[in-house]
Amino acid sequence: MDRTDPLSEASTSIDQPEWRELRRKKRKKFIILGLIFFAITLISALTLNVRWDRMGDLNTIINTILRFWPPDISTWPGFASPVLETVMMALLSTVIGMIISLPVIVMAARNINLPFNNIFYGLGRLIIVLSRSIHELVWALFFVTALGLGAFPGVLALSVRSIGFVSKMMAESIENISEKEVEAIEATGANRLQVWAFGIIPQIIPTLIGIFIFRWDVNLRASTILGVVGAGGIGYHLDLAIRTYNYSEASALILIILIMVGLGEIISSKLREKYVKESEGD
Amino acid sequence: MALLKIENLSKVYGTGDRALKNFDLKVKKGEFVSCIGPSGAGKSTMIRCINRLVEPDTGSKIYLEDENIVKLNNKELRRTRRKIGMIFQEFNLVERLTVMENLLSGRLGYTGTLKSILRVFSDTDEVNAYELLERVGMRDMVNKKATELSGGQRQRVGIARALMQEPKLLLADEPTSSLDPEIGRRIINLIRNITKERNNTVLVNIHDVDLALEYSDRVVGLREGEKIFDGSPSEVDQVVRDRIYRGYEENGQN
Repeated sequence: MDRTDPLSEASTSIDQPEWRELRRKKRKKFIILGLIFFAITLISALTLNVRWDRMGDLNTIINTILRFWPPDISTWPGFASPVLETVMMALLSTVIGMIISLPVIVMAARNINLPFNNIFYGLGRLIIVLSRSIHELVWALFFVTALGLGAFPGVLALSVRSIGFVSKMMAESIENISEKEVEAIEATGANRLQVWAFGIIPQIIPTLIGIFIFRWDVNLRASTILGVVGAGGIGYHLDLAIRTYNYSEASALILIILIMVGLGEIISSKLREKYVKESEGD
Repeated sequence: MALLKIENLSKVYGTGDRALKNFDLKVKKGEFVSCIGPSGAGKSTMIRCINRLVEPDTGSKIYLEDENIVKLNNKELRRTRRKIGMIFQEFNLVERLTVMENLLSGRLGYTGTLKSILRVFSDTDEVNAYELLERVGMRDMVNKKATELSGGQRQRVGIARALMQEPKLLLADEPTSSLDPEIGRRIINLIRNITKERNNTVLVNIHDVDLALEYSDRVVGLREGEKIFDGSPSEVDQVVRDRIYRGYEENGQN
């Protein structure tokens, strides 16, 4: 038997160029992209035009920060009502946002066919993009300008801001339902509404609950800051405290916000675990 | 008299695939007819054309008790679909509904929209549902969600749901092929027995020829969208099998 296998000899030879060729190309690409990234970062830093001379010395900076300490938690009882208002704003805006989302969801889900489907599909997508691409503070400024100060424009801002997220997620959920289940209901002679009630909605309920809880959490976080532009909630008091140099009250408020948002996150994740996982049945 | 009469049924899919070509079939009341053939022969398309989950090509005629299903508008189609029960290969239960809700969905065509959304069905429907569950051996599972069931159990619920319609015609599209052979045999046995008890007419697709021969009154062989055999199970010998599954045309009259 010939002991030298020509195949194995060839495959261990260092003269085979492909792998090293590819490695060389990859290295080159890595270096070029790295340089481009570095250059962009440098240019950005330079164009920011930081006026170091207008900043105070280190002492002043530290002193100012220290004025936030200690937080004056004796002010807390007075903020019970803004805290409640903030939580309610989050809840209400999530409910309103989801209700307004219903027609948008139907328009934006590709597997639901409406008359003039292309027009409605485009419209649905447009609403989603508009809602998502404009920040809640901008929406709040818009509604405060139109309706005056208070929690109501804040609720509207968060509602409108919620539409995009809710519609996008729900439309995707509908696009991903199992057609088999729908088909089985259609085969019984059920009408359109019955097909929705028995074939489609049961499939999307867990997503619906999950989105509601998640969005409430997001809206809670957002509603703590809307007060800065006069749209209600605890942010108004934070803004006021800072403007009146009442730093220990400001830090007490920041603590409240931290606790609220933290609690919101815990509640939201626990609820989602309970309802969404459970209804998935595994 | 034929309960179901299919004439000249053809289907070309949007992709250009010709699934069925001038297919004819008559099924008598109370008959249990199996349709055999290799995958891609058009068995599924044929079954699904009958309740128009797939739209047949124009010129096709499907008569259920003298009513041409192909010509029906949406509303008429819904009314006729109530009379046609269907059992699916992958069971097609609504996974997040309970066993009882899945059964009652078989009565949707007979229940008002609002009532059905509120899950209010007639007492008779509920009694029938319990009876059927008892019969298919699923009485203890009434409030279980479909997700909690095994494959065989799901198909039992699928059978009960189809029979809730008290169908004139029961269609079954490969009811055993998602199941292991032993469970599959029990399922086809159940379908056979329960439909004979109720004098239902059954048209079933099945790729397991031995099961088909064992349980059917009549066998129809499909190959490449055309019917190439129609007769009693005893007539299906090796020659017929070869024609259906290997296309040995020289062995039969083309």
